Amino acid sequence: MTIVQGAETIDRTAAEWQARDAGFRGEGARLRLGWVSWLCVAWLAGLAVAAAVAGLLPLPDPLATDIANRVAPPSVKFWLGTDQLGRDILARVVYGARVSLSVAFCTALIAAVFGMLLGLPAGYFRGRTEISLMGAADVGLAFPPIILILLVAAYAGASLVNLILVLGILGIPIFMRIARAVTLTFAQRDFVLAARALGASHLRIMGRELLPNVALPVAVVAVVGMSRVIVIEGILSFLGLSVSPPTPTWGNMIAAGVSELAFHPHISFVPSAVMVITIFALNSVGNTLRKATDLRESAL
Amino acid sequence: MRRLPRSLLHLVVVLFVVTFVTFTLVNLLPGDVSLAILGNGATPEGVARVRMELGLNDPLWLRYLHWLVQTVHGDFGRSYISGEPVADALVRSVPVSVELMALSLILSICLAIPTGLTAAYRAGRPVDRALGAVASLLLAVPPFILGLALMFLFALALGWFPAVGYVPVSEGVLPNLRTLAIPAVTLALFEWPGFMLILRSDAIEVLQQDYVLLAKAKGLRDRHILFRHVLKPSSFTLLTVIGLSIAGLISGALIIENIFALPGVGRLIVGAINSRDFMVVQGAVTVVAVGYVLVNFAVDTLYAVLDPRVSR
Repeated sequence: MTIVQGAETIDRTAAEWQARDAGFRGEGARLRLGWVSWLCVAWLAGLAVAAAVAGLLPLPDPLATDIANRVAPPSVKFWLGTDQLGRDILARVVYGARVSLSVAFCTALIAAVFGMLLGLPAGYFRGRTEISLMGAADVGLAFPPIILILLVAAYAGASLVNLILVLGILGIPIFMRIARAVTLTFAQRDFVLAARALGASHLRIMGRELLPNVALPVAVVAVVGMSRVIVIEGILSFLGLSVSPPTPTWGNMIAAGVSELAFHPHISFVPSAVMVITIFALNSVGNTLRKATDLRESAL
Repeated sequence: MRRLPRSLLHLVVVLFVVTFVTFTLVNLLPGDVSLAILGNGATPEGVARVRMELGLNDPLWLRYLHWLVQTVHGDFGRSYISGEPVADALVRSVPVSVELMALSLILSICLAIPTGLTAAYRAGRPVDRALGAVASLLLAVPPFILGLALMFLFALALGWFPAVGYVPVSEGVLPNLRTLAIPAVTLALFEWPGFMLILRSDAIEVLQQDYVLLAKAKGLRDRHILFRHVLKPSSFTLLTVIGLSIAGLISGALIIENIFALPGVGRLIVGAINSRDFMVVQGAVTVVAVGYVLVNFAVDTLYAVLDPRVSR
């Protein structure tokens, strides 16, 4: 189906841009990261570490209200200001990163692993296996994802686990297509033939010969995929359909600030900025990696 | 067009699967409808009666077939809350969403053509680099954040447009467009980077052609060359990407409507989900899902017509 191809074309063109900005030049050249990419990597690493050890950092309690200091603008005492209940926005952003990053990481992991487990045999065995597996993936891709997500979030309850499961399952068809396409290019190579001549079983060929080659491009796509998941989680928590308050998420922080947008825009815009920078960083790093591993030849 | 029978069959299968999954999800997810209707005063007899009336005791496939036949006849049932036929609510809200999507699509194309051609013509120069930087930045901004930023700037800070609300076309075209301006621009800016980058990369290839050199040698002006000679052969991929983007536009519109309080399908769905108005959710979700599948199908078919290589 061309939906994916279209999205890929846009991504690829964008990737060329960002790769060029990142200082990567020419085919076959060594991966060279520009300062933009280094900033992006530093931001992601910093955010991940801060989110992981948030409890150990000298931050105020993200849930503690302080009515005397409500809607304070950014200052020395409150670096990023406070919201309507006087809660420290810096602390809430860091704790909110836990939700965004863990949903993004777990979702990408589920989608990538299962996509690979299903896409690799499709590309290796071809024939009926391929037709039935990829047919199922096509039907899955024909589904409007936002609708499914809204429904499950609304009815099954918006817990972290549900969110990860729904988003992860929805991502599987995309990774199936990638895994299959990459497998197709490798399955014809001599080292596979050699393994077969040595009497290796199908399982061994797939596991030992093909999997390591398929895993790299899949992992690269998963990095860009993580940024999409962060957007979707943001949308859901903005609509009140993600992890329920008072647990801070970037989306529900942004939503909470909307009523004060005219007078205290920092309540919405600080978490917005953090989210945009994170998405930009993931896109930029993912696209640079993709350019370096060059998925193009795999003819998605 | 040899592929048409097969893709029609595929379409029918997908439509069945999509409607069935939607139906099953809405029906099997936790939360008893009869309890929702009866409220706190629910008695076991009352629950049994309502379940009987709604046919909830039949097996799932029978209920699905029953529902499918009704839906095909335009009967989407009645809202549990207001008692209004769901079809009426849809007739009211679908045009709002379609208008929003059409406006933003037109806007983003009008933005993408001049910027894409300029970027291609000045490839590697400052203009091109600046456009590319703006595009890759916009690719990182989720639509709801873009919407809030534009709302803050143009409605709250500058006061040029109303922040939320909707005036129907029947009360005047200009007031109607004023209420749709910020939402439409939001979605247009969301779509623009993809369109611009695609047009740019195709136009760069076309600009290498000999006839462009000839046109330059004849002394034609740059603008004439770009719009008359380069645009048409460069726009094939753009057209398909525009077609493909409509599916994404549907989900974008659903979210934007909720931010700007536009009474479209997205707002209808989220409102109905929050009030557990299961008939409305079902009807609206079905309409969106079927629309999404049909748009995809139309784009695929059109693609095959435009580029005969695809059907082989």
